Amino acid sequence: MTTSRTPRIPPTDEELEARLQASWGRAVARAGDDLASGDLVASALAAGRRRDARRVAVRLTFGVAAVLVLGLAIIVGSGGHPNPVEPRPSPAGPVGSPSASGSPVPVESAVPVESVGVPVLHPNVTFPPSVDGQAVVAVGPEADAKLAAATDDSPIYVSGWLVDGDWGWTQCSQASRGVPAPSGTIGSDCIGTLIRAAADGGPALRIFSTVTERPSLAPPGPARVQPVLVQVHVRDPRCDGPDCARMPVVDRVLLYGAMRLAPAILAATLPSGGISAEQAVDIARGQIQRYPPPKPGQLPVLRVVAGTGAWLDEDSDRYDRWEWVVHLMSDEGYTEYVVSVDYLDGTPFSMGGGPIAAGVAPTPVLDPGQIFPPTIDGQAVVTVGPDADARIAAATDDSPIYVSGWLLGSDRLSCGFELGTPAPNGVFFADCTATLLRATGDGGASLPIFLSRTGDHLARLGPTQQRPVLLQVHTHDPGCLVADCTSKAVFDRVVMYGAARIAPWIVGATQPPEGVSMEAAVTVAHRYLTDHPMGSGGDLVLLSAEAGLSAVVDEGGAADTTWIWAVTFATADGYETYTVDVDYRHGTASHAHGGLLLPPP
Amino acid sequence: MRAGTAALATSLEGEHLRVVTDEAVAAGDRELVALAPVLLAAARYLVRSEADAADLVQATLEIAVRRRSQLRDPASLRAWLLAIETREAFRLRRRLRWLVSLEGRGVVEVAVAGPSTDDLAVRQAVAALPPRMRIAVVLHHLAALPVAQTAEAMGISENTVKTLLRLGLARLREVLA
Repeated sequence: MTTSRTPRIPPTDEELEARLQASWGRAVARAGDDLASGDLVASALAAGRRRDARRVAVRLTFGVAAVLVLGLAIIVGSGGHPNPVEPRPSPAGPVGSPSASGSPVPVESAVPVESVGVPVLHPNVTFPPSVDGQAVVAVGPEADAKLAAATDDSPIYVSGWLVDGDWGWTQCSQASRGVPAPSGTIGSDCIGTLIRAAADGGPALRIFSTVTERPSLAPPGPARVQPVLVQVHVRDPRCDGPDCARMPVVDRVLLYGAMRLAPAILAATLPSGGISAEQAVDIARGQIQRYPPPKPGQLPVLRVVAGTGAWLDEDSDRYDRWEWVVHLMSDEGYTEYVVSVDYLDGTPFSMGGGPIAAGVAPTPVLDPGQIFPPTIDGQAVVTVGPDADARIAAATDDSPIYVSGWLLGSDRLSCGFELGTPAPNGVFFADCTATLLRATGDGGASLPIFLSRTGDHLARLGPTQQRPVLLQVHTHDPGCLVADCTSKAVFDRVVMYGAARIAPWIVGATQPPEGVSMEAAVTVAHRYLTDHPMGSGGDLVLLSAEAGLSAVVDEGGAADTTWIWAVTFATADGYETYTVDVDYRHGTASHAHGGLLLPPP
Repeated sequence: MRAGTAALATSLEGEHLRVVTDEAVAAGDRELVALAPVLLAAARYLVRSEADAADLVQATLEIAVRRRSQLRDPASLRAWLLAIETREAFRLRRRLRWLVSLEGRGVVEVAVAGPSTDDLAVRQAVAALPPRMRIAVVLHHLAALPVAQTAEAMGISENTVKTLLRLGLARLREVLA
C-alpha cells in the first residue's frame, strides 16, 4: 500500500504562465498596500536626494579646488598635472582572495552603515506619535516618568528597540516576583526583556511578560535589532507584592518596525592580518580531536566563514570579536562540529555541534536484514515487500508477526472511514492513523502499520530522519469490527531500532540562511490550530518544535522538500498530537496533521 | 513594514504616515513611487526575508534618485530600476553571507495575514530555484522584462538567460504540478 496522493500533472506552459502572472499581480498589489502606509519609499527617496546633493557639493568643491590648483600651477610654472580630482568610492574594498594571509576564501569587508541604506531611526520617526489619543513615550526618562506616575493598570504605550541579546531569564527574588498565580502568572517565571532607547544601546526598560504572553514579545535574531511599540501596564492586579507593582507588564505588541542588522555589525570592519582559512580548519580539527571519543578520518569541511559576533549586554558593554567559524563533518556523515577560532590569533574559543541538519552526509542504504537478527523467538523476521505481504495474508489470528523495514520521517498514511469502524475503546482505526514501513531507506515497497491507542507507539522521527526498525505486529485485531480490517497489520511494539540517519534526499539541500524563530513558529502554529479546530479541540500543550527539511515521499521515493518548523502540540487529555508545518522562511502555516501521542523511544 | 503591521498602523495613525509619502510624491518622484510596489514584489522573490526585501527596495530607490541623470530613455525606467535592484540583490547576498548569524537562529517574523495558498506555492517554488535562475525567472516571467533587458540586468548573455529560463520553467512545472 502506498501514500494516498493524487497523481501530479505538470501544468502546461500557458497554465504556468497564467499562474505566475496572477500570483505576480497579487504580489504587486500586496506590496502596494504594504508601502502605502509605510515610510520606506519616502525615506529612501529623501536619503537619495540628500546623498545626491552631497555628491554634487563634493564634486563642486573638488572642481573649485582643481581650478585653483591649476591656476596656481600655471602661475608658479611648476609643470604639475592639474587633473581635477574625482571623488572616489571608499577605499575599503573587498579583501579579496587570495589574501595576504593566503586564504582561499573570499572575504568581503563589512560595508559602512551609510552605503547600504540602513538608517537607524528613532522608533518615533516610523511609529505613530500617539495611540488612542495617548502619547507614545520613548524608553528613557520619558517612559520612566510615565510609569512612575501611573496609579492603576491603564495602558501605557512605549516605543524602543529590541536588541539581540537582551532577551532571557532575569535573576529576581521571590519578593520582587509577586505571587505566582495559577494562570497568567505575572513574574512567576521572571521573564523580562529589555527594550532599549536606541538600536545601539542606551537606557533600557525591562518589560515583563506573563507566561501566556511570552511568545508575543519575540526577540530579534543574533546581530539584529528591531523597533517595537508595546502596550504595557504597571500595578498588575495579579501582583500582591510592593515591588512588582512597579513592574511594567507587556499587554501586546502594537507595531514592529523592520528588522535591521545591528549597527555594531554593520560598522564592523574585517581586521587585517588574520589567520587563513586553512589554518583555521587545521586548528578546528585539532580542537575536535582533543576530546574523546576519537574521530577517525579527515573530518571533511562543510563550511568556513569569517564573521563577527556582537553582543550588547545589560550594561551596554559591547563585545566584538572577529572569528572564523569552521563547520566540520564526521566521516560517517552524521555529526557536524562547529568550532570558532579567533580570526587574529587562531585561538579556538568555542565548540559545538550536533546531528547534521543540512545534508551533505553520505547515506549508506543498509538492508535491515543486515542489522537485525533473522529470527525472534524462533520466528522468522520478514522484511517489507512480498515476504511480509505473504506472511500477513497467511495469518489467521492475532499472533505476533515480526517485520523489519524503514521508518521515514514524514511517511504517514491518511485514509477514509472505509478502512474500519470506530470502536468505543482502544481504538483500532478510530483515527485511521497509519505509519508506512518501507522496504529501504529510499522508499520502495511499503506496509502500512496501524496504531492502536492502547498499544505502544512508534518512534517520532524528525522530518528528515530515517530509521531502520524491527516491529512486532499482528492482524485480526479484536478492535476491528469489519472484514476489511482483519488483514491489516496492527502495531504491538518496537523490538529493535537501528541508528537514525539523515534521509538521502536532503543530500545537497541547505537550510535557508534566514527564517522565522521558534517562538514565532509556535505562535503561528498555535493560532493555526485555534483557527482550524481539529479533533476534540480544547487546550493544547506544546510538545516540540523542530526545524528541518520536510519531505513528502511519493510512491517512487521522490520527494518534495521544504524547510519547515514542525510544531507539535498535544491535547490536554494527552491522547492526540497535532503537528503544524510552518514554512521556515515565511512563517506561514501550510497544514496540520494529527496523530497519536508518540513519546520518544 | 509588513501587511498586518501596515494595516494596524493605518488604523492607528494613518495620517501621520501618509503625510510622509505625499511629501515625497510632491518632490517629483512620482514615477519612482509608482513603481515601488513592483520593486518590493520583486524583492520579496529575490531575497529571503522581509527586512532584506525592504532594504533592497530602499537601496534601489536611493541609487535611482542619485543616478537618475544616467537614465537615457525615460520609458525604460521600470527595467532600469529592476536592473539596479538585481545588482543590489547580488551585492546584498554577498554581503549577508558574512554578516548574518553564525549560530543558526533565524529572523523573527510576526505572523500576519499572508498570501493565498497558491501565491505561497508559487513563492516557495520560485524561492527554491538557484539564485541566478530565480532572478532570471522573476525578471522575465514575473516582472515581464524582455530577455535582452533581463540579460542586461543580470550582466550575462541572452543565451545564458534563455538557458536559465528554460531550466527554471521546467523546475517550476515539476514543483507546481
